[in-house]
Amino acid sequence: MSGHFLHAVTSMRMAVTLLIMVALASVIGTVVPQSLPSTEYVIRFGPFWADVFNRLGVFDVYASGWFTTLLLFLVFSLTLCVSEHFSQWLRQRHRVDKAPAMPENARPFSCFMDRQTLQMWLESRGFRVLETENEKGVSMFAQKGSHRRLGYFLLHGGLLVILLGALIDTNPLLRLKLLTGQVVPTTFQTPPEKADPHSYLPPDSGAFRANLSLRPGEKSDRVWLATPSGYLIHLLPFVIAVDDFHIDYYANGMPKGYTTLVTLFSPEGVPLTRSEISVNKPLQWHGYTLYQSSFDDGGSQVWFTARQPGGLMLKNSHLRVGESINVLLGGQNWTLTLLDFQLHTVIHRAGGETINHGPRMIYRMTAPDGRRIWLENFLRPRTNRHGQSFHMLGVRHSPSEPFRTIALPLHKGDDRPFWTWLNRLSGISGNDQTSLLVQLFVLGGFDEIDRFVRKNIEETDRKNIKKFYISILLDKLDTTLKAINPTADARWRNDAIMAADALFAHRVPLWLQMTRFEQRLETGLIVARYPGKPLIWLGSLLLVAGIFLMLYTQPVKIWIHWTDLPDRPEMRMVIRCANPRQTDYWRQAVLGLCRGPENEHHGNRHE
Amino acid sequence: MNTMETDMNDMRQQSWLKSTGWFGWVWNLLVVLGAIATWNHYHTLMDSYEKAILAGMVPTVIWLGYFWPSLRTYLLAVAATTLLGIWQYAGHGNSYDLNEKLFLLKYLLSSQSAFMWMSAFYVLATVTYFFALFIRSDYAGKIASWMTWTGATFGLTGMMMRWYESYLINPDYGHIPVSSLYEVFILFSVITALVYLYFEQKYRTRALGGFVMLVVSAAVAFLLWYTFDREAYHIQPLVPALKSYWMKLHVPANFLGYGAFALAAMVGLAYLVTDTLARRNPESAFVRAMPSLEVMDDLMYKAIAFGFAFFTIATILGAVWAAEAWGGYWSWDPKETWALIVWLNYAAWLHIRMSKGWRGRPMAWWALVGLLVTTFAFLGVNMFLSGLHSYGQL
Repeated sequence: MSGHFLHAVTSMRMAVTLLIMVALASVIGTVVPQSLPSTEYVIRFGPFWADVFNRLGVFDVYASGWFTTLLLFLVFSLTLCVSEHFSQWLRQRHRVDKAPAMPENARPFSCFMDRQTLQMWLESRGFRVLETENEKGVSMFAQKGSHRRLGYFLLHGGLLVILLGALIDTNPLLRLKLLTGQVVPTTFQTPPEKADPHSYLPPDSGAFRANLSLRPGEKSDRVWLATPSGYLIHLLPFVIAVDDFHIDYYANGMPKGYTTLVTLFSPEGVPLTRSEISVNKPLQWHGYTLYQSSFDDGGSQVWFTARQPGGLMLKNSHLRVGESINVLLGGQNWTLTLLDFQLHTVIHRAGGETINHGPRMIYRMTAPDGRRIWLENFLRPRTNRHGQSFHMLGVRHSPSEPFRTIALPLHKGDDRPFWTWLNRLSGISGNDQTSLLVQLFVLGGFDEIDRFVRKNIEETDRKNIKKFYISILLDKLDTTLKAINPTADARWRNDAIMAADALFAHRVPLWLQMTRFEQRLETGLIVARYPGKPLIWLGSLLLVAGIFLMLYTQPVKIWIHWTDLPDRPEMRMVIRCANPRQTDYWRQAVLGLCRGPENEHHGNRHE
Repeated sequence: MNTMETDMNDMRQQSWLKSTGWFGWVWNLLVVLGAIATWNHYHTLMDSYEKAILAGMVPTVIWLGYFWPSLRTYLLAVAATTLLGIWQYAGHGNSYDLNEKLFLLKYLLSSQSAFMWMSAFYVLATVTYFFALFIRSDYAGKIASWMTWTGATFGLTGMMMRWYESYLINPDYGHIPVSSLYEVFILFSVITALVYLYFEQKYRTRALGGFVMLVVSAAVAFLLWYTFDREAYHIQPLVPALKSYWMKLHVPANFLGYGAFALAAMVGLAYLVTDTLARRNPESAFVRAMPSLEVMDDLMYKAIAFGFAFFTIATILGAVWAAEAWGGYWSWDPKETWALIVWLNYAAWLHIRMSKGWRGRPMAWWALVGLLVTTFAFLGVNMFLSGLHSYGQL
C-alpha cells in the first residue's frame, strides 16, 4: 500500500498536477485583493459571501492553511522524486563499468572501422567509451551528455533549497507561538503603552518585515508587526534615529527620489553607523535591512483664510495635518479635519503630458448629522486663456469619487468681491418673486429652481416658466454683481455666477483658501530580517545552472558491436539521442569514418 | 539535408578562435573599441554596477557574435544608424525638437520615425512571408527575411535613439527605454523577431515566418493604437522604484522569455494548421511547403526551453531587485504571481514532454494556450490588476 502511495506521489502525473494546482490556486490571490480590512470585503461581497470566502482563506490565500499544505505537498513530492533518482544513480554508479545491453533492433551494415581509431575519435568528442569482449565478439559502448543528470539534481535540488529558504522566512516558529497562544497580538485599538506583555518579541525572533514611520529627529528601538487580529511589538538590537528626510522632484513635479538619513545606535547610545537610505539603496546591518518604503505627512502646518458661502468671512487661521477643530456654521457645530498636504499635485494627461498644480491640501467637513464632504484646495491661483485667474476648490461627497472643481474668479487677485456678493445674495429676504428665486438659488443653485418648477408647475408650462424664472434670476444676479463690483467685466460676472451655482449645488460649507504652508514630512521605512535569503540565492544559482545543464546537454549513447564472420567482420550499431535529427547526425558522423581511402570498396553506407 | 548540414556545423567541435575569421576579429575589435569609447564618454556618470554591466557586455556581445554570426552585421547596422542619428542631434545643438526639424531625424532616425519604419517593415514582412509560402517562392521569402531584419534594425535603432533623446529632454529624465509598457512592446517585437530569425537560419526554413510575424504584427497593432490613441510615446521620467541598474538586466531577460514563448506558440499554431491539413490531404501544396511536423515539434521545444531558461533568470533577477527595493524578494504581487504561473505552466509543459514523451498536437495546443497565459502576465496584469508593477497603466 505504502509503495503504491509512494509511487503515486513521485509519479510524473503527480508532479504536473501539483504544478498546475499551485498555478491555479495562485490566480485567486491576484484576482481578489488580499488582506484588506474585513469591512471592505463585506461591502464588496455581502456579509454571507465575505464570511464564506474568509473561512476559505480567499482573502489571504498565500498564508492560508490549504495553500501552505499544497506547497508542503509539492516539497514532499519533490523531495521523494529527487531522493529516488539519487538512490537510483547511486545504484548505477556501482555498475559504472558495465555497459547497458545493446538494444535488440540493431541492424548490421558492411563497413570496416578500426576500433582504436573509433575510440580515439569518440573520446576526442567527449564520449566515455567502454569496451567489452565476449564469445560473440567485441562491443563498444560510448556515452556523453550525462551532465544532464547532474542538471536534474541541481535544478530540483536548487528548488528545494529555495523552498527551504522561503519556509525559514515565513517564520514558522512565530506562527506556532501565535497558534498556541505564547504570543498574543494586541488589538489595533489599544495604544502601545497598554500593549499585552505577550505581544513583545525579543530581537532574534526569526524572519520579519515591518513598517516604521518616523519624523526627522525621532527614534525608535522597536517596530510594529501587523497580524490580522492586531499588532506585535518587535524589539530591535539597535536604535534607529532619523536625522533627515527629503524628497527630490523632477522639473515637472514628479518625485525623483526619497532619501532618509539615519543613524543606528547601540542600546547604550553608542553610534554604530550612519547612512543615507533611498529607494533601491537600503542599509544592511548585521542581517537587518532598512529600506526606504514610503512617506507621509508628518504634521505640516497650513495657514488659510476661511470663507463661508452665504455667511461669514473668517479671519486667518492655521491647522496641522491630522488636527480637527470645531467650527460653528449657521448655528451648526461642524468638525473640520485637515487630512493631507502635498507640495506638488501632478496631473497626468492623456499623451503623457503632466501638469503641476502645486501645493494642495485636503480637508474634511463633518456635519452634526454625520454628513461628510471632502474638499481640496490649491495655494496657487490658476489662470485661464482669457487671463482671468481663479482660486480652485475640489469637492467630493465620498472618498471614492473624483474631485469636482469649482473655480472662483478673482478680481485683480482679490477674492473678496465675490464673497461680498455671495453674502449679499444670502442676505436677501422678502416674498417677492425675485427674492424667492434668489433664496432658492442659495439653497441649491440652478438645480433648485429646476426642482421647484418640477414640483409646483404643470408639465405643459414647465419649460417656459423655468426659462422665465432663470432669466429673472440671472438678471438679478448680474445686477447685484454690478452693484458690488462696477469695474468688473461680463466675463468675471459670468464666472462668478457659475462658481456660486457650483458652491450652492454642492452645499459647500466652508472654503479654506491656503495662503502659506510649512511642510513637515515623515519617512516610511521597512525593517526586515530574512535569514533564509542566502539559501534563496544559493538555490537560485543551482536552479539556473541545472536548467542550462538539463536543456543544453544532449545525451548521446552509441553501441557498436563487431562480429568476426568467416569472410569479413560484421558491424552493428545503435544510436540513441534526444531527437532524430541528432541521431542522424551521429550516424552519419560515425559512418563517415568508414570512408577512409583503404575502405572505399566498402561503400555501402546503409545499415 | 540542409538542416543536417547546419547541425553538423553547430556541433563541430572547433576552436572558436579559428572559426571567427577576419570579419569576426574586426568586429570583436570594434566591440572593444566601442566599449572603451562609451567608457571614455560616460564613465563619470555611471555607478560601479553600470560599469560592471558595460564590462560584462563586451564578452557577452563577442560571444553572441560567435554564436550567431548574422548578429554581427545586424549590430553593426544598428550602431551605424544610431551614430548617424546621434550625430544629427549633436551636430545641430543637441535639442530634442530637432526631431521635427532635421530631415534625417524627422523621416528616418528619430525614435518615433524609426518605430514607424519598424512597424511598416514588420507588417510587410508578415504579408510577404505568407505570400512566399503560398506561391512557394524562395525569392519572396528572402525579401521577407530582409524586411524582418530591417524592421528589427529600425526597432533597436529607435530604442537607442529614444535612450539618447530621453537625456536631451532633460538630463534628469534619461533612462534606458525599457521602463514603460510602450517601451517594452518595442523590445518585445525586436526580440521576438530576432529569436525567430535565429531559428529561421538554424532550421533553414522561411515557411514559419508568416506565423511568427503574425504575433509581432499584433504587437505592432497594439503599439500603433497606444501611440495614436493614447499618445503613450511621450518620454516620462522614472519613478524612484525603477531607478536601478537591475532594470537593465531584469527587463530584457524577461522579454527574451516572452519572445521565445510567443515564437513557440506561433510554431504551435503552424503545427496545428499543417497537421489538420495533412490529415485531409497529405500531398497538398501547403503541407509540402511547410517543414515536417517533427521539425516544428522540435522547434517548439527548443523555443520553450530557451524561453524557460531566460524567464527563470529574469524572475530571479526580479526577486533580487525586489529584495533591494521593496524589502522582500517575494511579495505575491500580481505581476510576481503571474510570472510564477507562467513559469509553472511551462515547467509542466517541459515535464510532460521530457518525461512522458508527449509530442505533437496536445503540446502544440498547450504552447498556444501558454501564450494566452503569458500575454495575461505581460499585459493583462497591467490592465486589470493593480500592484507594485503598475508602471504601464492603459
